[in-house]
This record gives sequence, structure tokens and C-alpha cells, in this order.
Amino acid sequence: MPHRFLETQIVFSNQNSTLFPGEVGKGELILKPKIDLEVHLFGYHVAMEGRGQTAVITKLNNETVLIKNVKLLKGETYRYDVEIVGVLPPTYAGENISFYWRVETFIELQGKSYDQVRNSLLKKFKLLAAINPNKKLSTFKSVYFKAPDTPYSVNSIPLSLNQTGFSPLSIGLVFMIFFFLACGLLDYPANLGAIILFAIVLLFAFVIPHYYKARLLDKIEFVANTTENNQLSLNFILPDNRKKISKLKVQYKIVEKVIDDRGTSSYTYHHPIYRSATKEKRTPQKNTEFIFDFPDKNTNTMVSFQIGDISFYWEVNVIIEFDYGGESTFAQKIFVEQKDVNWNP
Amino acid sequence: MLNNQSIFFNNNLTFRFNPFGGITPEELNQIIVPKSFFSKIKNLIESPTPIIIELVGKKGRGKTTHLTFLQQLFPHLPIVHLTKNNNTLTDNLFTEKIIFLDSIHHLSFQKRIQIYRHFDKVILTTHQTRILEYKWARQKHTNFYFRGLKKEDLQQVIENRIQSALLHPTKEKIEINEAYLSQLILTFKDNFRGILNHLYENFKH
Repeated sequence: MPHRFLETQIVFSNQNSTLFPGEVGKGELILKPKIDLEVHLFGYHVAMEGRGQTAVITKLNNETVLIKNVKLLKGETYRYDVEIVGVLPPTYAGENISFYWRVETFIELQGKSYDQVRNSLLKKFKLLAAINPNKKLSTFKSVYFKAPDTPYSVNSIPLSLNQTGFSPLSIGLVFMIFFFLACGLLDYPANLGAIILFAIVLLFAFVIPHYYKARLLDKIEFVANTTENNQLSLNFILPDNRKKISKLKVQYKIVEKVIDDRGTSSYTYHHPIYRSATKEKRTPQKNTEFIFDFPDKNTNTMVSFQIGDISFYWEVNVIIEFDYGGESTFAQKIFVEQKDVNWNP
Repeated sequence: MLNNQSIFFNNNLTFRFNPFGGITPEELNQIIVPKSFFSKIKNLIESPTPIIIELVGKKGRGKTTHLTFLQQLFPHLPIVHLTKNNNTLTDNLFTEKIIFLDSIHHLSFQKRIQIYRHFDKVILTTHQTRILEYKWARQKHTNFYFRGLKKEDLQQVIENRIQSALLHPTKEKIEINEAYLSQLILTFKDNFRGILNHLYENFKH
């Protein structure tokens, strides 16, 4: 039942109410009471809701009290100026999380008015609404906040890429499981010879290639940086046995990470929201640089940023192909911000 | 077969957000379809007898949802949602007589026994029953199993979720795709959260 007690309108002079961080938006709040209302407090705030595959997160900004201890009269029209400031994070529509911003009014009734509204709700069996009649009289209008327009900046400390894939422990475990499986299937100890053969095959198939690759190359150093043309530079420093490396393939991606802690178990979602082009170089030099474009600011992307159980990270992925035909994969996070903007206060 | 279908037939609804994700405590009040034993638990909390009330079941069956909803009926009582990183109880909680504890397995055995003995009433959620622990602590206990999912209840929750996610409330009936609903129950059985996650992923704005 809208407008049964109080009609509220929020109007912005800027039609689509879209703001950059720090930008001020001006508007008007128009109140038309349908009954006499004794108001203890009335005002507005800017509220963010993060919604998705996790508990809702909220953030309040810009809280402004407009009136205190005033009686609003039925039939009158009251007008108040509204001023809001754009903040971070920007409005975002993601895979497992979205950020919505809105201007929301709040009201605290007092005296008879509170009882009047509550009783009216009770009469209509709106029992849960009657617990907080004030809430029933609040209203909202969506606003859109944009990401800042300043260039990206990358922290340029040297990083090393670690080999992804099996750890020695997990390899050992897999090996053991296969071995015992073989013992069961091949009827130990009658077929001991077959089992040993099986173990040797496993060793050649999984374990030796892993250690061979690790010995060839288990880490590559690199430095991430921003170029003068606002591009992303990834400068790899390859080890001296690089002659065994036939090809270097590089890509970066931005990942939306959401931890779902609702309920008695937890689950983490990693969803890439942006993937760069893949660049490659054959027989790379000791120092090999790759230059990438940053994502377009109009696309729905994020810098390295965290709020509660939600975070966004940038990750460099490297595939190295060796002369003998095998390949190793490496991954490392880089921290990307925007100049003159603090996303992680 | 489950993909690329819509759970509702109405095609003129405008949504504020995906209706199948996380919800606020206020929305929970409008959405939840409480289990039949809900009022029994409420009475137990209101009665003066000390007791441990265990909500037990596999993940995604509604234990935490019910615990959160129950606590909202007793807003003066504390509720703690324990997680891997948030696994301690602050000292001031121990001045209370009744506590709601979500995911008690994040606490150590000693801590759990201490809690069973300290509070008059503990309402907790767990994957497996902890009867032996309550006996060890010599406390009276009762348990409520979360299993099974009625199609009508699921349908009601989905309707409620759609209503509360709309930009403007509608008087229009939400037409639920019942064949799809049956398929969901066949696939996910009573895994309520599994169904909601599936609907979240397949929701198109």
C-alpha cells in the first residue's frame, strides 16, 4: 500500500543520477503527508547493497537529518534540498555479486503517530511490518556510481611466478592411492611383478616429468609496471637455461572472488570477469617484455579491491613450452589500483 | 535439461536484483516458510527449563536460515555466526543466559562443553548430532532434523523471493513453472541451497 501515510518523492536534477567518486549530485525530496505525522527524525542516506551468492553486505554514506521534532500536516507539501556525493565501490553487475546504490529516506515517528501507523498495520494483519512501522514509511531511489576515470597503476615490486599444478605432497598421495588400487586389482602378492611394473609406469607418467619440469624451471621473476602510454608492462627475467624454453605465453585476467559463508558450510566462487588477449614469444630472450592494454573503463571491471567476503584480484598466467614438448603453467597475482584514488581505505 | 528454463512464466516483471541470492534479515521475514516444528522450538526457547536445542542436518537444508529467523523473534538474545576465521566468542556473551550459535563445529571440544554447561539454553546448528557431547556435559537436549522438502514450500519460497526482489511490488500472481520445479526436486532432492544456487546461476535479468 504505497502512499497510505506519507507520499515521498526523490527527484534528481541530473536525469540519470550517475556520479563519479567525489562528484556531487543535487536533488529534491518532496513530502506529502496523508495524515498528520509527528516526526521525531527524518532524513536520508546513500546505501549500498552487495547482493549475490553470499550474505547481503550493506554500506551507509552521506547520512543527513533534515527535520527533528516537527509535526507534518496532512495535505501540505514539504520540500527539502538533497545533496549526495559519489563514492566507491561503483555500481557493478557481476556474476556472483552485484553492487547497487540508492538514496533512501529514514523516518522515526513519535507519540500518537507511531501508534496510529502501527495499529493500522496490525489491523491489516501486516504483523511483521508492524514490528517496525517506521520502515514502512521509508522509500528509495536508485543511483549509479561510476568507477573513477584516472589511469591504472601497478605496484612494480619484483614478483616470482610459482608453478601451479601438483605439489610434491599431492603427487605422493595420488601415487599411493594408485599403488594400493593396483595391489587390490592385481591380487598382491601373486602378481608382484605386475605391480612393480605398474608403479614404474606411474613414476614415468606423473612424477618424473613433474620433477624434470621443476628442475628446468621452478620460478620465473617478473616486474609488472605501467608504461607512459598507460599500458600494462610485464617484464620477465628468465633463468640461464632458457634455451630449453621454446615458447612463452602470457595472459592476465581479473577475477571476482566471492566467499559464501551462509549456512554451516563455506564455498568460494572464482569467476573471471575479464581476460586479456594471450601474447606469445618464441625462443624468448633473458629479458622479455610483454605490453598489454588495460581493460576499457566502460567494461564492467574492477581494480584489486576487497570488501568483506568479496574481493577482486588480477592474476598473470604464464605457460612455458619446453623444447622436449612438455609445458609448465605459472600464476601470480598483481596489485592494480588507480592513480590518486584509494579503493581500499 | 535443467538449464535454459525459467522458473516463472510472468514476462513483465522488473527485478531490482537476482531473487535467488543472499537476502537481508528483513526480507527473510517475508520469505521464509518455517518448518512444521518451528513453533515447538519457539515454545522451548520461551519455557524456563534449561535445554540444548540442536538443529541438525546436511548443508543447504535451512538450519542457519531457521536459526537466524528464530533469533529475530528474540532480538534481545545474541546470535553468533561462527566461521573458520571468526571462531571465538567474546567475553560479554557469557553474561547472557541464552545464545544462538551457528556452525558450532568451528569451536574446540573443550569450548563446546564449556558452552553447554554455561548457558541455560543453547540453540545451535550442526551437520551431525552431538548427543554424546551433551551427555558428557550432562545437559538436557533435544534435536530437530532438517531433511525433506515439500514442493509447496519450495514454490512458496520462490514466489516470496520473486516478490521481494521486484522493483515495484505486484498484485499479479507469480506463475511458477511447476514441471521445472519437480525436475529441480528430482535432481537436488532436499538440498534447498543447491536449488537456490542453481536458480541464481540461471536467472536472466
